[in-house]
Amino acid sequence: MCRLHVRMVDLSQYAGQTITNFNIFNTTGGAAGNWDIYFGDITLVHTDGTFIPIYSRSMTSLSPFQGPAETALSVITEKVADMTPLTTTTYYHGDHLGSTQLLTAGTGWPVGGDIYYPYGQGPMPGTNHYLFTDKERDTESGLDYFGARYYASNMGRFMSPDWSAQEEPVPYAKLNDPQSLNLYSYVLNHPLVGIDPDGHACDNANEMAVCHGITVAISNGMNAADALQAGQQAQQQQTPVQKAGDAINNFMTAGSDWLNNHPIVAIGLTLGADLPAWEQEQPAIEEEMDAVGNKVEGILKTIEEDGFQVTANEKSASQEANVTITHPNEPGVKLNLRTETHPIPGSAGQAVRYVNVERIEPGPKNRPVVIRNEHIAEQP
Amino acid sequence: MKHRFEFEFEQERKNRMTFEYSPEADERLDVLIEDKTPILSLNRSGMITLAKTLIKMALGSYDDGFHVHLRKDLNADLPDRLVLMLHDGESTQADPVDNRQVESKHYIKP
Repeated sequence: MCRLHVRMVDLSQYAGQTITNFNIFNTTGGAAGNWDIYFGDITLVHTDGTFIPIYSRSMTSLSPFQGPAETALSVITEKVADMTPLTTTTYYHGDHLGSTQLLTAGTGWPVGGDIYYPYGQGPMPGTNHYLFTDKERDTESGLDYFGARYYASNMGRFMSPDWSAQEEPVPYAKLNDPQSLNLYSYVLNHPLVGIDPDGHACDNANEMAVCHGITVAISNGMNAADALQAGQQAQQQQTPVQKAGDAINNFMTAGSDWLNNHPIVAIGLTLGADLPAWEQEQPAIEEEMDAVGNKVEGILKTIEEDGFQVTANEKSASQEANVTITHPNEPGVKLNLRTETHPIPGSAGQAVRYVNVERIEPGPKNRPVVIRNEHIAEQP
Repeated sequence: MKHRFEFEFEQERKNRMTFEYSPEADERLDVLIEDKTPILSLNRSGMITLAKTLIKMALGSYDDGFHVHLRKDLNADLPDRLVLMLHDGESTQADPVDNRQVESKHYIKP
């Protein structure tokens, strides 16, 4: 059996004309007989790199060949321009973002391809609906369906503001990242390195890694799809104590501002610590906690309903609270949460209150060691 | 004979520190007070752990007043022995560090 290899033919001289026939030439000589010619993988290649497949109604054509004296095979030609494929199995090849760049037939030859501008503008769906970042593009509107919202690639913006299941003033906002305050933006305006798996902005550290850590993933030789999968697995594999730590950390970094800079009070009350010194602040605390009810409830759910144990430890003179959070599924792993006051050195007695979260794990020789320390100062 | 101490660490989130422990080491640390003078008593691996902690605090992104509690023998179940606090005056960011004495590489995650 003879296989024809890829031959690139410049057709620019036929621009504007209809190609109705072509010949395959025998240049090396061949035996007389009937030759099977396959049409399934013939493509036109645009100068911009776009592939357009040309299918034949008949996958093969049996062509008689008389021998070396005859140089051209007679090929059925009038069906070549038919764009309707007989076969339906094609294979998607994505780029680092998962966008469909190339379609190949079962035999491996390219039968279609697309190119995209950074925000996804480009092809309209034909037989392939899954385009930019492997999301489905609507034929009529040209919008990409991301699950929670529709995305307009021609504007680089979602068509509706982001939303969360629980009512929040600015869903998924990170106060240390002003870009997150724009509820219409796409991957915080980093479309070349970020993907949005579900149409919602990133709402925790792991998802941030998925959405915006693609740069790291790519530098490590991982594509976006793999990075997404790894990030999702990491989320699923997150241990209970890690969840509690993240909940507290989120509260410390974002919740503290909403609490009018009283994180110590709120965290202490959330954990049910015995904090008599705070009693006189109670009225103000209740108002603040009302203002961030969802956040506090979220932490409470994590801490209490997921089987955590909160143990009050002996407090030193500088501490207002000293609790340890554990979970029966993770023996030896602890979160130490302490609220304490330290004088500012050289300030003649002025003091600042702090929250410290420590993650403790069994270390060498089963010695419990602090492996992570996080800290926030209460603003004066 | 020259000794070389090379220590690399990645910049962590602000006011967050991950500690460096050797899997085999058995760090010892204690503080004694003699005539109002604190005496820091450490074994060698404890000294290295403390050095790494100090370098991280000096080079990392920490607010003034950031501190870590070090327990006796660096055992989290034992009482506090030493509190290391960053006090840099009014500044909230570490100043450039003189690297003539300690060679340390400082990376910021992309």
